[in-house]
Amino acid sequence: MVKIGQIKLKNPVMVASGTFGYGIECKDLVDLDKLGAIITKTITLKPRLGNPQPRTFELPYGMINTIGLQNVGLEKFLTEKLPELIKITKTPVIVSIAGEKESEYSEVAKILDKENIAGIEMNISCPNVKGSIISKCKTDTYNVVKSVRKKTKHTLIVKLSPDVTDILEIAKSTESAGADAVSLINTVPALFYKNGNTILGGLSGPCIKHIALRKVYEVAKFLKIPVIGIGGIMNIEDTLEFFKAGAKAIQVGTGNFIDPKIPIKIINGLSFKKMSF
Amino acid sequence: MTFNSPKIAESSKPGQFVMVNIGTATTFLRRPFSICKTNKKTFDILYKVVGCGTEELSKKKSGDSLNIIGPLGNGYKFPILEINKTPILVAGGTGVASLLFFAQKIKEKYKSVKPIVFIGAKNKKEVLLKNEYEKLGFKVIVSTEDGSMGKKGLISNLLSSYLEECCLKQVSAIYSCGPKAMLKEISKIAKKNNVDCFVSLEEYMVCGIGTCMGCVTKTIKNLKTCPELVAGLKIKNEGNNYEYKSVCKDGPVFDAKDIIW
Repeated sequence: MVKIGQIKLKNPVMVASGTFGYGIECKDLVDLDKLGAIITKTITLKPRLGNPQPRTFELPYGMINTIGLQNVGLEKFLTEKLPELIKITKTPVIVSIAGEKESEYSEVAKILDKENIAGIEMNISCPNVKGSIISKCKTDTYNVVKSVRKKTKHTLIVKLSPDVTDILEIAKSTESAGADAVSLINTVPALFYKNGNTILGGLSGPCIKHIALRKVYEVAKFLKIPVIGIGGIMNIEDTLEFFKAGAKAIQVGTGNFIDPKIPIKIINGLSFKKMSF
Repeated sequence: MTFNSPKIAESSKPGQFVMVNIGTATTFLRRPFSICKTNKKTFDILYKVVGCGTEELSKKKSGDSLNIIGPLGNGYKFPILEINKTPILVAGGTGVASLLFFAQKIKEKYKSVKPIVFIGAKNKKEVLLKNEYEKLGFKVIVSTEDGSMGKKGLISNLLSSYLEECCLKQVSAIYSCGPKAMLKEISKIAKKNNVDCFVSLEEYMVCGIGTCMGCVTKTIKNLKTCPELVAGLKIKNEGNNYEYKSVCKDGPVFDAKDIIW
């Protein structure tokens, strides 16, 4: 068992936001009950249409995406998606949230506080929406985390961007603002050309694993709160590397697209190695 | 290419697809392929070598195994066929694949119906599966861009002139699969003739199960609130009248009326 804030996870393997839909889509392919936690697609106060095509670009060891946080909005999420997910699994559900400004984050957090969820993951590091990435600035990061903290008693995880000069400085400001954990890294800001168009997006997959490992390593030993490692995890070997770098838990992201069973394979691998957490 | 997979073969519906993990360093993501036909324990896909994924696929040998997820997506809705009503299938290039499976099922279900398939291709060499449709008893009409087989020109022109001459009351619906530009033309022709039209879209896919939202297509959100779009007019401010639907989960078959081309 591993503890992230108040959430007791039966194992340290979660599925990353944006790679597992609202959880429901995967029920026929994955035994949801086996997962440590499910992190939903990022939810915003109002529905978001998302970005026009092209939205994805394949690379030999990864991909670039620019979905633009397309989601059904908080109201529909709470009336349709969340009840269905909770009905089909007992696994802790962590809701990823985002907003255009600080007040939207705290509004969403306030509404979610009454809901039957295990925790909130603040996505303050999405590279694919208008405006700058909040987690690039330690003051903005502190302020937004602080205002969400005031609105929720749920476990609060903050997901950070690797695209900063000093990741430790940012991670420390989330800790002092009251976060229960940090998850790193979100996708790496990148660019691709398609049909003559210049498209900005976020790079993910095995090609960013070693960037992620470095960020986890730079942060983990200096924080009191746990670090959740994300970035190109495809198998148990990758998972063990993240633990070695200091992560207490991990999230499988892009790997879910290649094989939705990767998280379960990792969980089985960990229990085979009789690892205790 | 034929795969031995009793589970997929048994549960597949026409218009559905599979995600194939080609499993090499250069092809990181799975590739979607329409199910072309099924037998008791096997199913077929049809592919053309166009990039690194299909190139790698072409190197596979008999007996090799591949990791596949499927069947996925929503298939073609079966026409409620009245006597004397005929479905028209319009295929472009490798679009013949998903429509062949549909054709196979139409014939199983409605033995007496005499359906028509239009096949369009660049040249004679790329007119695929013509014999298979003929074996099923379909009337096959072919056009090629270079005129090396059938009538020279685009298949949409051929369909258009066919509809002008035939009795529209005898057409149940048009089902089409092929390049997006072709589908757009076909849906225009269907609208002009007031015939129902269903299109199977192709898009670059990542997950195939509706989680990543990478393969979306622009659709009309609410027909009732957007008369301009229903009328086929371009409106200045699309505002809240459109939404992106995933081709993999909400499609790949859509009612042509819902698509904003």
